[in-house]
Amino acid sequence: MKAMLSGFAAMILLAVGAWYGLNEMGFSSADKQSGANVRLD
Amino acid sequence: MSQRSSGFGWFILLVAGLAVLTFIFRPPAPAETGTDPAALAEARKATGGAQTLEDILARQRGEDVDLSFRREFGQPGADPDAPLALAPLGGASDPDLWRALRYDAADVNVSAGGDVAKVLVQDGGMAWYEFRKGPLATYGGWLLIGTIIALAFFYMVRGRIGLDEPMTGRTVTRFQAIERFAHWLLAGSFVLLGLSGLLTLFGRFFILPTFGPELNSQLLIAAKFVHNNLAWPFMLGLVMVFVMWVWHNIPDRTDITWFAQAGGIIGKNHPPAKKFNGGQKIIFWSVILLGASISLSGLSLLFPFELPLFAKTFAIINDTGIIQWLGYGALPTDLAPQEEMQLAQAWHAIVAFVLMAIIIAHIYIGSIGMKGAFDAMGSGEVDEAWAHQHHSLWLDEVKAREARTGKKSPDTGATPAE
Repeated sequence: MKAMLSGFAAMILLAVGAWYGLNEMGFSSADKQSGANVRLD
Repeated sequence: MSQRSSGFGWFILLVAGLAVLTFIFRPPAPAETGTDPAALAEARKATGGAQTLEDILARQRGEDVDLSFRREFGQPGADPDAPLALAPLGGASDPDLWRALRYDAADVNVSAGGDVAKVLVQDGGMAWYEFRKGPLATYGGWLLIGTIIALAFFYMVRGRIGLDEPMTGRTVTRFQAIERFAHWLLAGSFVLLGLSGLLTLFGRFFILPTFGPELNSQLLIAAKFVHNNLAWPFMLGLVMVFVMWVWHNIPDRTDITWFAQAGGIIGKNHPPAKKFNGGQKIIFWSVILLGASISLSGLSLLFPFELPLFAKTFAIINDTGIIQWLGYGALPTDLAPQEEMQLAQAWHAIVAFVLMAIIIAHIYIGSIGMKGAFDAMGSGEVDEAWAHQHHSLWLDEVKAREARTGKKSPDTGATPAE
């Protein structure tokens, strides 16, 4: 069962890492699809 | 040795039977009520080529009206420099401009936003929306429900597949820790991706009317977060599983025997199998091929407008000539950026529904459907009696390797019988 729990833990870590990393790298929708001349930004 | 069938063959027969019944009792095709296209074209002469009330009514009746005439902009032969002779813009009239915008044929310039912002009217969005809430949700939903019903019926008829021989108490290592880790990384993320995807598709139909928009909205925000970010562990798990198991899943002659006996339905013996039997190979290649396709279309959706897939794919398909040979017209290769996204979403969902149905069956057979199956992915250790019944050739290989190296599999129980 350790392998299964490790797999689930890695899944959560990778997901949070991807979310944080991609946002930090400027891949959020706001960064990619918006700009200074968009009123909602 | 008297052995019972694994029951997989019965399951295949059941699914095939349901497919035949679905075909026989399919809804009748709607009657042909189309208006003669020549009559519609003739009526347009009275309006100078513009669409008529008959065109509009035919479309409202749901008939397939050829609208190519509406994309013919400008009046051939008209002098575009003739001021105020025909219209404020001369030969190039205002209606031409509006129709060009309507059909995304106008020469639009924008200061920001690129090609995406140049599309002012994109009627493909409506077709995508209709498809998503109509056939996709309907057939996709019934596919999953039908699979669960078929499995429940199968369970009632066949029961849990047991062991013919008593447990030996000796175990062999079926999957190493790294294999189980990759399996659960892939499985855990796929289940959550599937649930969050279903929530995104069906939330508006079921949760919103029952529990209100607030709960639906919160669930959708959570589903979006889960769906976007679990894509990465899913893809990593897919690559790991492929690298570790592809060698064991190359089709070979034992699969012919396995399929010839339909997994055990024909004859009384269990067909011999190596590490993976024919049915498991089908699961493996389904996961790899469909999972890779879902990943590709998912990446296209994760990075909007950055990774268009379909125009080029359609061009390659057109070049093969297969579509034309089957009697269909060429696929469109001039797609708006928004159309690329719509097609990616539709393909993503269609393939995901098929893979979800397959995985539901996989979960069934790996848990309540077969005694001892979960141990293979739980502890990694399976009883020798189980291994002999379901993977006799693989067990022989393991035994031969142990005899050769003098080492036993980790955590093995007593000394092997030989």
